Amino acid sequence: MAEVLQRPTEVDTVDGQIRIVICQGTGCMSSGSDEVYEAFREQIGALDGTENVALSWSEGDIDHEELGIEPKKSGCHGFCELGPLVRIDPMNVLYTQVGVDDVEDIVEKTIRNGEVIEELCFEDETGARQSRTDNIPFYSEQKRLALGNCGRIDPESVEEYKTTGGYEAMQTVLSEMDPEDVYGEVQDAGLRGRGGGGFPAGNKWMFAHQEDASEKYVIANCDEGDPGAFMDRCLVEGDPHRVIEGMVIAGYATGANEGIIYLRAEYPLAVDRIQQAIEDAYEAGYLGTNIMGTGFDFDFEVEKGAGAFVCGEETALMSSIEGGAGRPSPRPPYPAQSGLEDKPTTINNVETLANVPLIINNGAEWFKQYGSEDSPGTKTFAVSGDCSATGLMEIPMGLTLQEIIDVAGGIEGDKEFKAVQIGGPSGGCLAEKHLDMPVTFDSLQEVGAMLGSGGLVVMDDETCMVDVARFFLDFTQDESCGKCPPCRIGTHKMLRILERITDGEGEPGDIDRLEELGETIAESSLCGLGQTAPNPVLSTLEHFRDEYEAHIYDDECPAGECEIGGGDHAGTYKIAAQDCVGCQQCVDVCPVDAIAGDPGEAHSIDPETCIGCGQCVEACPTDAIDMRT
Amino acid sequence: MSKATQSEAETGVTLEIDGQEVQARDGQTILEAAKEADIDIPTLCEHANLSNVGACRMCLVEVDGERNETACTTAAQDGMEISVETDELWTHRRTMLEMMFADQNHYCMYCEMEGDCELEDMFNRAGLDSSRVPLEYPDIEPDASNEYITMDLDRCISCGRCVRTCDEIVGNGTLNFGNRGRETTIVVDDDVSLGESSCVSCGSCVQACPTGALYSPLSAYKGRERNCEVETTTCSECSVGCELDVYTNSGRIVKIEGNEDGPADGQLCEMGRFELLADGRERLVEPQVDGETVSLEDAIDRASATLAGANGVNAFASDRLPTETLEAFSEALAAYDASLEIPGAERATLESEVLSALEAELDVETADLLVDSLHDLEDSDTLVVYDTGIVESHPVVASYVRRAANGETTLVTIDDGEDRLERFADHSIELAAPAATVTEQVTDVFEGGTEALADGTVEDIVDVSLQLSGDATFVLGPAVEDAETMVDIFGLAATSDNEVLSLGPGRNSAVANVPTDDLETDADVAYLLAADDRDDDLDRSIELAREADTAIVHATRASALTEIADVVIPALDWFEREGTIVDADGEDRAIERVLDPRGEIDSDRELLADLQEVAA
Ligand SMILES: Cc1cc2nc3c(=O)[nH]c(=O)nc-3n(C[C@H](O)[C@H](O)[C@H](O)COP(=O)(O)O)c2cc1C
Ligand code: SF4
Ligand code: SF4
Ligand code: SF4
Ligand code: SF4
Ligand code: SF4
Ligand code: FES
Ligand code: FES
Repeated sequence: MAEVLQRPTEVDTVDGQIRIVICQGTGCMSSGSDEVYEAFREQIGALDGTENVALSWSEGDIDHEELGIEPKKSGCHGFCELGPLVRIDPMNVLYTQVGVDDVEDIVEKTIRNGEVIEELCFEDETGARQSRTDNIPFYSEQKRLALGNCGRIDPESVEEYKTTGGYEAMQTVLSEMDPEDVYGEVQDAGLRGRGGGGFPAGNKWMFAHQEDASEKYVIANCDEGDPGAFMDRCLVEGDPHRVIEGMVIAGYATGANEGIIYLRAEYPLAVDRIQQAIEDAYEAGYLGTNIMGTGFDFDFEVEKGAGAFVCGEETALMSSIEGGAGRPSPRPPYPAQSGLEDKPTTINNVETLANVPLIINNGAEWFKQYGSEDSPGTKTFAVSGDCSATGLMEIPMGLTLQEIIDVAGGIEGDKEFKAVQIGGPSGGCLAEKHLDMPVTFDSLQEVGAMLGSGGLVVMDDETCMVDVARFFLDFTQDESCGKCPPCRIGTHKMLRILERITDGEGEPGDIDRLEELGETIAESSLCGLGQTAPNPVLSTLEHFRDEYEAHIYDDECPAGECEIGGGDHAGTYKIAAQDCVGCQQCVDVCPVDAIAGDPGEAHSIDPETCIGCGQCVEACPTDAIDMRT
Repeated sequence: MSKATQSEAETGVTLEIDGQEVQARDGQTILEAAKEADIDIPTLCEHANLSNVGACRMCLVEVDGERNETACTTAAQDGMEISVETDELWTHRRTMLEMMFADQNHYCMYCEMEGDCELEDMFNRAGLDSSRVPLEYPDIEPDASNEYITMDLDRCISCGRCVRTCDEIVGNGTLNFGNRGRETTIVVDDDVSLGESSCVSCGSCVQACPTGALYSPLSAYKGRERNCEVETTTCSECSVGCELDVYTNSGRIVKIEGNEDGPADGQLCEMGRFELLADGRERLVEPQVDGETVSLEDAIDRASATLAGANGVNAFASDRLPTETLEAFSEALAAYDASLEIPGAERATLESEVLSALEAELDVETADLLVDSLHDLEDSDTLVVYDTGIVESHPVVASYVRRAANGETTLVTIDDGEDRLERFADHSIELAAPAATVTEQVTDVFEGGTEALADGTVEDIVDVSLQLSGDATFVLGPAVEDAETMVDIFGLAATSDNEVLSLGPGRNSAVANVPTDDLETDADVAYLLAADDRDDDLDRSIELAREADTAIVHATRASALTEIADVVIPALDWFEREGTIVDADGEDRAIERVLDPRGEIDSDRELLADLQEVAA
């Protein structure tokens, strides 16, 4: 027997409506959610008024005119994997993977009769169907502040934004607060930059405020070049007015009258949405001259990014806006001193900015109740990899890695956890021993990783960590702008070494070489890209060194991912470095001098020379020699 | 000018570099402060007169024991403790050099720049003799499409010195970075060969390149810098008077570079840097009479006798010659009652007349009217160039014009033909008689305000020129010839408190003070001091030689002229001369002897004096 819904009352609803919210985020759209939306429009149109259709709910009939029914668009819910998503509010019912063919059924059963369609509901680990978002851990464990409106309101409507308290913070700021109070409040809230660095936003604003200049800028950074990350896109697609409101407040606090959002051109929907929202905000008097009669002027434009990862780095970003090449330049001077067009410039990530209206409306203390002491508030994470409920989630800072993985449904299947790569391609790999570590800006820094933009790749025990490092380094070396040698050349050289290791051609000494190169690149590179590029290698070397050694010395990939076999060298012998004591006895017996190594150090056999006679095996006192197969 | 990128360093700061106390000035970078204290911080991408970009990372220093910063981009601050020579920093530098070595073709023994390469020096300094990282470099064909410049990007370390030089110094923007990451490379215009590009072959990028990636085939394998002697002299190919550092080895010129402390920031043009060097014509060292080699005395006697017996003498002297030589020539001629023509004299004389008239009438000092440094062009709000022929005649001035136009300056160009600066101009005006037409209206405006002007392009120019009074600069090219124009422009500048850079066709502006005449129509002797016998001088000399019955020539090189001359007396080549020339700003500039004269003659001047004596 299907679950039957409670009849909603006017009080539960926004605008006295039953809302059929069809996700129009990029993920769902790509699986056809725009057609689903159109299908709803058609169906509801058929219901429209004339017939006075009775909806039979558990408590008597209601007339749909008395309680409006309207299909609505929303931005991404973060659960794209199961899109297209359709959510029915205020009853909080979530349907996943909805097709055009399901629409008639939904209208007939759920809307008309208050009946839940089980097959469209989320299936949890136990195989049970969960109709309400509250019962889906992916949703229930999240604390949505920045993304609070995403998936709930129609991003194309200022009015809907206003019903959630939108533009109230801006009104308060512009009419009641001094700039000092504004950045002071943000300082008190301890809001740290969500774009990667974690720099306190309030301090940044204060520095910009203190610069004496007639023109200043604020820039919202929505470049989001990390592969797999899409929280910023979600935010701009799902709640563009929040970003605008945050920017106007930042402008007021820093003394800037011009704002620019730098958005990657590969996000066409986000570009459209923010452009529409800017137009609407101008029309409503929330942008332009003399905003809401307060005398504050603020103009806002969209700049489409060049599509390179490095363009998200602030100095490269500004150079790209100025029409130059997206190449970083050394800091100081910091943008707050001399940024865009050499004017004081404040650059913030869009998620950082989206938190601001909430802080103003609810106060610093309220904000600090979420998260940890050094990292108040929440953070969005894009969880991917070997978890069962991957997607975008916003959770309080300070949850442990294990808790985050649980929110994402835990490790898929019956595999074991092995590692996570946190902070995108330039973050670091963390191992099992970090599972109980609270995830904050500072804790990650301490273990050689970083929060980055919040990308989180979960890996199970079938993952080869050398290959993981190779994968991420391949990305960063490809994205290097080429300005400075350590990053331009060094990352490439590291990649070549990793490639030969995963191909089974690793040489003794490669680990040292990787470490040396990695340290120089990290210490000498000009910008964050190069400085962090070696992280995946250095951190896997730290936590999974034995896997590297197995590849190099034993011609073996412990996870079984890399295709290493004896290959051409099958039938020759190899020495397991960890067992070799460097006694040189094998060297003495080898008839073709294929074995080399300093006394006391691990030896190696040159497979090209080895004739497979096996005399060394006999000679080895520690059984360190084996045949390649 | 300091290049610190940090907002501001305190005035008079004291810092410590490797334990040594160092004083720095306001806004200096750590690197600048170190240089002045003779502390050698390794660098590759940094270069005098260029902006600092922090690209090569060689100059990383440890600041206050806690962080590494690039010395070339970080401002010196009071109390900083800097370490340069730590093991850790050298490990990083060596590792980076190893990367560069492993990623490019740096087998020095096959390289044109071996021995003169900053990268090679750095390899040595870091003690790098092999590479432990995988060797792999792209094989890029050298670009030899420009006869004077070869680009071998296999050896390019992407330091960007060439890109910045072409942009910031030459203002030409021919070179750029293309691609990214490891594929990063130098791209010429829209990826064409250097020979087909907008490159003006000034060679400034070659001089700036620290490696063998850019070199001149004219200098390759001729000798290393450290085995050369260097003499600084003044270029006499145009009136800019750039300072040449001439490198010689065993009596042969190896290369010519621009003096980086000189007035043009190390720039030279194709003429000064390459053409002087490329001159492969046979030197003329033996006097000849009627095609036969004779002794110098015989040649002088013959010349003197011919001159003494002449019915009329038409003389010609190149304006490339030092002032002293021209004067000696003029005096020697006086003894034979000859008429003298010097190419740039007419314009120069006119100009000095106009200036003295203005001085009297408008009560201005000539010195205040003339631009005193090329950098003034960049500081003007508006730059008005009458005659863009300066691109060919005075290429280094054209660089400053482009630089100004690339910056904040509004560039107005006026030409009667092709505008060679059109790409850079805010207003490009084509006028049949450029200067005259414009200045007439300029004067009107000046008296009656802008309203006095009719519609049209002229109004635009004049508007712009005048609106920004106080810092407009007028550049007069060699095509401006008439008195009226000159009076108007100098007058306008004088009354509006602006300056003029006048670039006549003459090289040595001292020609204004050497008496010249109209040549006689029926002279039977031509007496020609053809200097370096370059095309322009040569053509006129040949013409005069043909018109006369007898031709006497002082020449440096064998040419069509020496073939038809009756008496040929060897003259000193440009690198053998001594004396002064006067540049476009009216300054005396020294011409230094770079190499000892090849032939018997030690001084043109003495020879001319001898000739004068024979006559007496
Ligand atoms: C290679 C690189 C890429 C970056 N990409 C982004 C990005 O896509 N979005 C972003 O907000 N910040 C990015 N950053 C960080 C920015 O430079 C800057 O610190 C940030 O936008 C500041 O905003 P926040 O203080 O609000 O975090 C990147 C940094 C580096 C080094
Ligand atoms: S570290 Fe990499 S991305 Fe950053 S400036 Fe250097 S080459 Fe470019
Ligand atoms: S460029 Fe310099 S380092 Fe490279 S091969 Fe030539 S001399 Fe050697
Ligand atoms: S020779 Fe001069 S114009 Fe040509 S590319 Fe080099 S700097 Fe630019
Ligand atoms: S060509 Fe020379 S100057 Fe130009 S980037 Fe390469 S190494 Fe530097
Ligand atoms: S600009 Fe004139 S003075 Fe300078 S190098 Fe060229 S020809 Fe010689
Ligand atoms: S696009 Fe619909 S949930 Fe992400
Ligand atoms: S010299 Fe400072 S970074 Fe190159």
